[in-house]
Amino acid sequence: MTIHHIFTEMPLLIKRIKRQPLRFLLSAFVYFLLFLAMDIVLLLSLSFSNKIVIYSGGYDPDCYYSRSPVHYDASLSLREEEWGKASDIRCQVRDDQALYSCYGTETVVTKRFGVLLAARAYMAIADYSIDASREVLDRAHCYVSQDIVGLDFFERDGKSYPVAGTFATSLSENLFSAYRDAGIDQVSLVVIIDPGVDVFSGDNSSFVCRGSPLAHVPGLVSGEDLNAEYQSNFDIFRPLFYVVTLVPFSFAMLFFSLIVVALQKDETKEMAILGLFGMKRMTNIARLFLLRFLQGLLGFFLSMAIFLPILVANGTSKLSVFLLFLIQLFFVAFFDFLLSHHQAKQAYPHSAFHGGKKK
Amino acid sequence: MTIKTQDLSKRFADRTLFSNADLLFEEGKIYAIVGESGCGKTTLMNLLSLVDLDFEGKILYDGVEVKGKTQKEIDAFRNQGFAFVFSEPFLLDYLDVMENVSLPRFVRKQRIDQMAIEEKAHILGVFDLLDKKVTSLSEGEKQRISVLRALMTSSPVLVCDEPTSHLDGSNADRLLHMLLSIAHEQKRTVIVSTHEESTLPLFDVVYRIKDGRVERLSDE
Repeated sequence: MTIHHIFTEMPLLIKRIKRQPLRFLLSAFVYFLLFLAMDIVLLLSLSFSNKIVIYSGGYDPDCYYSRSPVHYDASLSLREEEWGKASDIRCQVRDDQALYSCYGTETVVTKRFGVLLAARAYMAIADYSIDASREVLDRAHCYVSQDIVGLDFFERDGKSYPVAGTFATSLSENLFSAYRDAGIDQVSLVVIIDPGVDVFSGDNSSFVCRGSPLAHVPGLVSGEDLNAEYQSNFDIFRPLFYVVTLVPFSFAMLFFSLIVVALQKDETKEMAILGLFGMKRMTNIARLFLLRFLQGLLGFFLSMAIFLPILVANGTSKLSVFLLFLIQLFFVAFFDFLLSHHQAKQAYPHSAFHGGKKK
Repeated sequence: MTIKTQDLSKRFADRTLFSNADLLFEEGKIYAIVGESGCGKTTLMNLLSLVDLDFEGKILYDGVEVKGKTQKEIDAFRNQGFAFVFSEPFLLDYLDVMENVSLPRFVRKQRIDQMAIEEKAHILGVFDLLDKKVTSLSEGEKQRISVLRALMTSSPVLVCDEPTSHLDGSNADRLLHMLLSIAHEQKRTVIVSTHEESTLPLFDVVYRIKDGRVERLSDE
């Protein structure tokens, strides 16, 4: 296909578009529907893939997080009965498990802010599969209990969870006693974490845990809110995304090709006629390809006008949007070419037209 | 152009359409190829017009065999030598009648002479249709316009594949008389495939394909 091929056919194409605008628009509308279907698949896939990521390592929606480390002063401002005790939690990834380890530090111990939560150190197991991750995240926080202190494992619902962390048992005992005396037997977990930290990175991400009540700690954000934020900023390009998008995408393209072929049966006859009048095969293909490309372009811009704002509002990165639209255009152009070629073969059925075998 | 075949055979893997056909098509005459559906009428016309090159035997055009030439040369020869009319007129409905008639010359990048078109249209009795839109024409009118379009190529051989199959009696008769006059008055070779026995007396020569043989039934 050359520029020459395209321009020699422009007069016919322009006449066709000018004199049959409805037919052109109808075909463009078919392309629009195709892009619409692809965009919907894309949005669903985006949403699906983000959920997967969040279930693997997102924030516990029942917890509260701070965007910046809480200074000891903030803890000091708590009333004694609201003591918060801090500890570092380290994340390690072993095989398919993420291990959260809690360590009481000397500083917090001496300042009497300490290992309240360290005493409730627990294991969060996330094996990256959706169900297992979801299950553990749902339970991890809930299983924080005074009863498990000092145990290597704790049992809940017939499952064994290893207790992680090292801390001073004697100190913990004292603290527990204090809390027990205060009538507190359940506490909430606060993890102060940099939102940008990947909790599965295993690079010793440092968390600081504090005990509740938490009302006096400023700037806390719920895990649910952070998850929403996390979702919108997360990179969508993952292998699963390709599987989820490309399979329905391919089916959509197949469906589209059938519609186009059904709509443009006359094209084959027209190609045959022009071929018999002496039009070169490549010129004939170029003519049909160009016509469809113009129709597809119109359909593409229409769909983009609708979905670009949605994708932007959904927090999809500009690069992602650009790449996805580029993929869409490429696929349509590719299928377009295959279809045009297929129709050309129908229009030029005999060996004389395509240099077929001779006896 | 005179077309002569020698021992022309067409075989498929599982059957033979016809074999050892010695046919002669001369300019200024109109020929009919008749036979039952599927007997090979269209195939024979495709062979004669170099649309299908897969055959045994020889086909000579003014004494010259074309089959051995390059594909490009064969394409050029076919484009120059043959014009086609089909059972459906295949007019492009986004072009008006005049543009449809001019299409072969437009595709071949030849000069479009409106006077010549009008003159030929006048001879064929379709002059009044030139100003009309394709969508406003009847099937018979469309088919006659497709004949006029074929004539605009100035090709010496006109190949018509069942041109009357979609027309009623009067329109079919009118079209055949038009083809007859083209052959006789314009000295072209007109080859028509048909299955309508009643029209055969109009033709100068009739070839019938039957039981794998092509027989010459009548002569002028």
